Amino acid sequence: MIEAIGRQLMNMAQTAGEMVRLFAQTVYFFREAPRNLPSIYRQTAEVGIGTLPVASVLALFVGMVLALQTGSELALYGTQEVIGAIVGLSMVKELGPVMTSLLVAGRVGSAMAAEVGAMQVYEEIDALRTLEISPVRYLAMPRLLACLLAVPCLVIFSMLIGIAGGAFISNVNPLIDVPYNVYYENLIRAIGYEEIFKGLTKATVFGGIIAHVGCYVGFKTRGGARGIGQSTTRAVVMSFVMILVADYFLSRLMM
Amino acid sequence: MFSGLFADWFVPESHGVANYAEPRGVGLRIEGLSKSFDGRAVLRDIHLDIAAGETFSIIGPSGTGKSVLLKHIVRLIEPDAGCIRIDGEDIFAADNGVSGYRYSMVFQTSALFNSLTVAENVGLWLREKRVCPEARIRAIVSEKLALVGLEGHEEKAISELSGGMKKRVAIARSLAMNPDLILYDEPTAELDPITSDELAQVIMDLKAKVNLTTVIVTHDLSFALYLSDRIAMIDGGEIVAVGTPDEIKNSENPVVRKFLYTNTKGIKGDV
Repeated sequence: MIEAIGRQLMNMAQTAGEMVRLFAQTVYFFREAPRNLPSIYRQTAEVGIGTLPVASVLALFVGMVLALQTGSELALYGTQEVIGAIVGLSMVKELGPVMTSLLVAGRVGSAMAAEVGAMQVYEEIDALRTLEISPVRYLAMPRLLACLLAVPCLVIFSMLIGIAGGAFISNVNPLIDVPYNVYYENLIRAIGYEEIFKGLTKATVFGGIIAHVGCYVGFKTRGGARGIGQSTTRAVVMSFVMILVADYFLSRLMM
Repeated sequence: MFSGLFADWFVPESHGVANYAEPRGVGLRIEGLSKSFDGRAVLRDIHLDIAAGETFSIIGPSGTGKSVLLKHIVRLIEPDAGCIRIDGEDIFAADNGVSGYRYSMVFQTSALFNSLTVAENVGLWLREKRVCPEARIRAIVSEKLALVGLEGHEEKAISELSGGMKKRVAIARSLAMNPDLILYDEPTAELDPITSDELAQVIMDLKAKVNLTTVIVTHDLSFALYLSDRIAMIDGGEIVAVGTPDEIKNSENPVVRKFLYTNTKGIKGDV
């Protein structure tokens, strides 16, 4: 048993070491970004524009549910005017970055792991190496940059749509019945540049995690179709865990 | 600086324009090469000399280390012992390998990039290495596709191609580098006999037109006998015979005879 635990710890340490090494390599190749602009553009569009519709729906309903649940409780004590501040702070500091990033991890991170994994299994990465093209520069760097750029943009949209959804429910629901102007006055009072900066910092970190995990798991894929399937699942699970862990530490750091 | 620390995935890239001289054919010497995976010896003390411009095949049963040997030659795998010399220079001695020499490999699976068109696949190295202006790249791509009989297919997606066409695109992609050494890993795997014949003809034509050294790993005996100048047979990670196709056919070595004289795939006859 102790041996099994030891082996597991060694595996975790090895994974952590390899991830740090891959991250350092990827960052090293940022200087080559101008060479890969078409690829970065394509990836950014895939992450950003491709995820925008579903992220919008998600954010809208998160904002609406948040307003409905919180607003109806606040109404019992007659303090429902502060609903704008509560929805706004939740969307900007927590729900916007986390929910959107989890969505991107499920949609884009898994696709990255599957795509890079398939390239690994079908010798395309070996082919790149024989062409003296770094797989890290050609595959990982554009994906990391794309996520670093696109996820914060997506989160801004999610924040706005979530806040709008909250405003709509707060206004039309007879139990809450908070006019738009009261909702927005409270919102503006509660949210400053600092809160927005914190939310976007989280989004940037989460974006980096999604791309990095997707590429790392893809590069480590072995076996055939089964290996690719396992990598896809592994990328999603790893991203989810790492996003939530990072969220706690970032929140603690920025308190 | 990173090549040692990140040896697994790091491919050092030069920032200047890549060397694009005409292929010159290089001599290859393998000295005492050994490799084990998880304690299991896959290659044992391999010694081989391949002359510049030669077409050399490595044959043997599946799982005997042929592809592993090939991956050593293109530096995808590092040996446990021994070395490989290109024109006398050890390819594993320097981070960037031997300067001024270009190699390329045609993979068993073709390893084409599905997100790119045929022309983009063939021109990938030229564009990535900024070898020449775009107009010249397009001309080179057309020229290399014509060499493998695929002119006019530039804009096709990889998914539209047959297995044989994919192999030929992979060869064209390799040729676009003007390689001094080209390696084929099981080129006829998954191909029907007619397509295998066409592929053999492509390689024979290249041999006549381009000065390059060719190493082919295959278990397709007829293919190897047809187009090789010399053949080595590998079994259990060891070289058991080297010679011309006639010498291999007439070998008295029982391992070679067992491989050659089979009822279904080799030369039909008694062992």
